[in-house]
Amino acid sequence: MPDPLPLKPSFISDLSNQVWGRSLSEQDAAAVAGLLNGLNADMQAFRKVPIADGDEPATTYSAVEGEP
Amino acid sequence: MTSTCLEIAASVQTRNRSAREVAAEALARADRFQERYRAFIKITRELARDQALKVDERIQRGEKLPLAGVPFAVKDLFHVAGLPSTYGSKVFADIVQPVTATAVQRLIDAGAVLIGKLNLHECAFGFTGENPHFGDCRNPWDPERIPGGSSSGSGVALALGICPLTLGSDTGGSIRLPAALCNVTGLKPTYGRVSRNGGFPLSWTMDHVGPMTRTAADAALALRILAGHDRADESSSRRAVPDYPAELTARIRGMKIGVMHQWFLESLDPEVAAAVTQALGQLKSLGAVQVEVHLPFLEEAMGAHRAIIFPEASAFHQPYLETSAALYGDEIRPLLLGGQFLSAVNYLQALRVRRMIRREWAKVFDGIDALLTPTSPIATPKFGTQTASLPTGEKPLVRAFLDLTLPFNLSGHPALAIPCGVTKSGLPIGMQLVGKPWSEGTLLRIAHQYQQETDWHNRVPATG
Repeated sequence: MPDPLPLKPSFISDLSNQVWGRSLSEQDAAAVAGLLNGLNADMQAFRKVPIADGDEPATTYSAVEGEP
Repeated sequence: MTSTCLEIAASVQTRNRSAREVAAEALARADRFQERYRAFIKITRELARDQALKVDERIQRGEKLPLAGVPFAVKDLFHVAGLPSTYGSKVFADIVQPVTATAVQRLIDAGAVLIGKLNLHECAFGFTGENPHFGDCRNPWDPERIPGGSSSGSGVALALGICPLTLGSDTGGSIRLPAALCNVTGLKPTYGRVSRNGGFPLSWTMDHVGPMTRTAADAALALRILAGHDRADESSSRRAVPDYPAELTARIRGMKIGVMHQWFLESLDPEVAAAVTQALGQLKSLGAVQVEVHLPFLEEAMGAHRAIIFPEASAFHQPYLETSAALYGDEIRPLLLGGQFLSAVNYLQALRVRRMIRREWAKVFDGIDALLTPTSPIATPKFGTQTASLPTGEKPLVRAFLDLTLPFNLSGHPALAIPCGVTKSGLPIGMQLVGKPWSEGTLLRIAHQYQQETDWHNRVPATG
């Protein structure tokens, strides 16, 4: 899985307008872009983990103790 | 007030002291330290006096109350009927809550007296205890340093001796870090052990509610009351609640203490490393056996945690972002906005990775009774510090702190933070015990035995 390209604040701003209908200030768009770029870097390891077909999403404590 | 819950409850139950006297003393101490340390967002004087009066009346009627007259305070994200829960944010500051959180009500029913609602990192989304709306919560060991968070006031009120019991919540280390930096005991129980009902969420599938106390024995007492199924929280477990206090005195001879040098011990401040090594030696002198272990997928766990916490937090706050985005602090608002841009596939893959990680870690925990780690790799830093200086180099503070605690929020394993030393400059050092799911009794027993042999947990800051 290749590393993603850095997100730009202008892209975040456009996306916020076009998906959420919400304008972001330049400051917030820059902060969100910075956050997401950091998260993308942090999440690369987990994104590359081979997951078995049988592994369904673990939500609450059921996954710990096998209760429904 | 450095008395424990057990000591106060015994004195009030036997009528050596009244709950009203104890509450008055706690309220006076809360007032005395408030301006300097900002432990509280609201001190609930009238409520405390009313509750204390009721406790005294119940005792006069012959009721046995396990927390008779014990003053306690809660992180201001737990609801108390008739009061707002600020969540450390202006957004929620004026919303009066109609119900009391299950955990809070259980403590009140057991005879505890609520004296106030405690400061926290805004929306529980941070680890320093800084708060732009209600003032930074300050560490009693050095007010220029962070108390840890997000349950900052919960650690500070204990360290100041205002009360012997507080309630915190932990989504990445928010009970354990303030416990370590303020020199108190903090328990993050197994996910599902304590009801989350009646508290603002940060991340529904990783939030844990737990007690913070001065001693492991008090934590055992509190957990016995807090734990148990709650119909209002479908994630709360139906498992029977053990008699944790009764389990404390059993010996730990032969118990296997897991140690993992890679990740948890490889890059620590030398004073922290020495304190944890010494603590391990003391557990071995009590008969415990050291076992080297390897928990796989820790870096993957860190990423999966981020892939879950941001969308879950954004989802909860989404309606408030629509109407009140400008009221959030400048640090928090981008975090809550950011989660909206992470994909659903990313979130679901993280939930699938979580299942795999739990399965793999279960194999490791099968071979040990507890994993021993430091709670934080350094003692409390000054406000504004961005990086930790570690033997392997500078590390962002957020990673330095959360790397040791956060994996067990993803997995749901119970984890207990207790004091284990002080630096040459007099700052607390803490260690963490992590156990199998539902093994809080084992962790509390190890901690209690350790606290019988050491006095780190009895040390208090010089507050004047």
